[in-house]
Amino acid sequence: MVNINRLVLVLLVVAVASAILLAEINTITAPKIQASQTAYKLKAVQKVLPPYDNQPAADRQVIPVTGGGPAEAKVELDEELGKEGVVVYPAYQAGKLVGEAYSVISHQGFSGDIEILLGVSPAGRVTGVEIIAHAETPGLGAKIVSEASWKGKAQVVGRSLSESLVVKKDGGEIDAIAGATISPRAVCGAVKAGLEVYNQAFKDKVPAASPAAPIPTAAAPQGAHS
Amino acid sequence: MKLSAVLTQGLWKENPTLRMMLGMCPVLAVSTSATNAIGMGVATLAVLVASNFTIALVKDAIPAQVRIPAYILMIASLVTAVDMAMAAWFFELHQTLGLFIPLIVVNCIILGRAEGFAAKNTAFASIVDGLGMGLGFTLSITTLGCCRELLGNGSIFGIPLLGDAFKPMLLMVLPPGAFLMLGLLAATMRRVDMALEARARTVAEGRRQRALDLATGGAPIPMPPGFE
Repeated sequence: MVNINRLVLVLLVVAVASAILLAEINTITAPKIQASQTAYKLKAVQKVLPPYDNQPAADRQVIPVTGGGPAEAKVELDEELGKEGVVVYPAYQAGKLVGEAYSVISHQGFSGDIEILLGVSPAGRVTGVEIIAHAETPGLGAKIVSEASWKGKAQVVGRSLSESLVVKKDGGEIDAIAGATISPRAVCGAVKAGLEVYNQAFKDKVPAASPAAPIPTAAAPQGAHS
Repeated sequence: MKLSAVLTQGLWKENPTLRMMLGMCPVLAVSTSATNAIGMGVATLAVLVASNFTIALVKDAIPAQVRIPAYILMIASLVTAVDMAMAAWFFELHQTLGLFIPLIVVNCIILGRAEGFAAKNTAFASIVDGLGMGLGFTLSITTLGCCRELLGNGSIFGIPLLGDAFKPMLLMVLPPGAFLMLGLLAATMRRVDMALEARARTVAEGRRQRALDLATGGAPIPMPPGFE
């Protein structure tokens, strides 16, 4: 005769022990994971923006936009500021706005969404592109992450909406990757969509002059925030 | 069984990947590059050692009727713990492997060893078994990853080895390449085994011949009529 009570009790003990273990580990790792994610994003922010002397993370703005389409600016909830919208990291040099960085998501990746961080100058030109998250095939589409394996990543820099932001295979000017056209095409699409959002929604939304007094360069060297 | 035998059987004789063909999903999906493969291997190794140890410790307290759900719960908790630890301390690797780490839960090597070994052996022997099986898995998936990356991308661990003249076989980093390479590796392993067996046979044959020579004083054994 099987004692049901004993079976239930054993499973209960195992479940409770597992839950306690996971809760403990979560308390230890959660702040570290959060910090890694923020650091990862801020490193990308620094790469896509022109030289600046402010702290883009501290000066960030949340701008509400309506998304949609195959590629769109990433709308997220900024818990610290308590606002929902596109998080824009502005770059100021000597108190003057020189660029803005924000995330754009393309839904046209080979396997899943591709999130890029796009840097745009006030004139509406690309100042840099970094891939934040993707699930492309390693060794193929995943080559979009580095300039060494995908020349197109550097080729889009300096372009505005009036110039070609299309891969060569589709009749444009941007190099694709042999055997993996879909991933570069998705990134180009995201850059284009990001610039469109910039012209429609972001232009003039971010203060053209630094909200805080410029930090003396000696105290905070260019881009040396963390 | 001797502990050294427990440790080594996972490496070759009962290699989980190339012999028992267990846990194929992560092997085929993650072995596109050597770095990914070794990351997956080490994560599985950690879970396997921890789960074998935990299950061997509590095996007597768990009634046979609920052992599977209890084991799965423990394995799932350990995998989640490894997942969180990786995200905290190896963030970049976690970004590439992210999707596959939770899948370790359903890797049948883990439950297979829990049922087949840890539930019947001491905690220490189970750790050794976990190490052996985990190393066997890591070695096979890393070898697979190296071969696929080398042929499909001309590099190993991201270091270009074959130069610009080499034209990568894209197929090798795509899913079919995983099956092809896995088959080739399993066949190579079998071939090595056959060669070893053949050599062992020759050695045994020679020994018997020598013993025979000794017994007959080196004279040829007379053949029975009709055998010439």
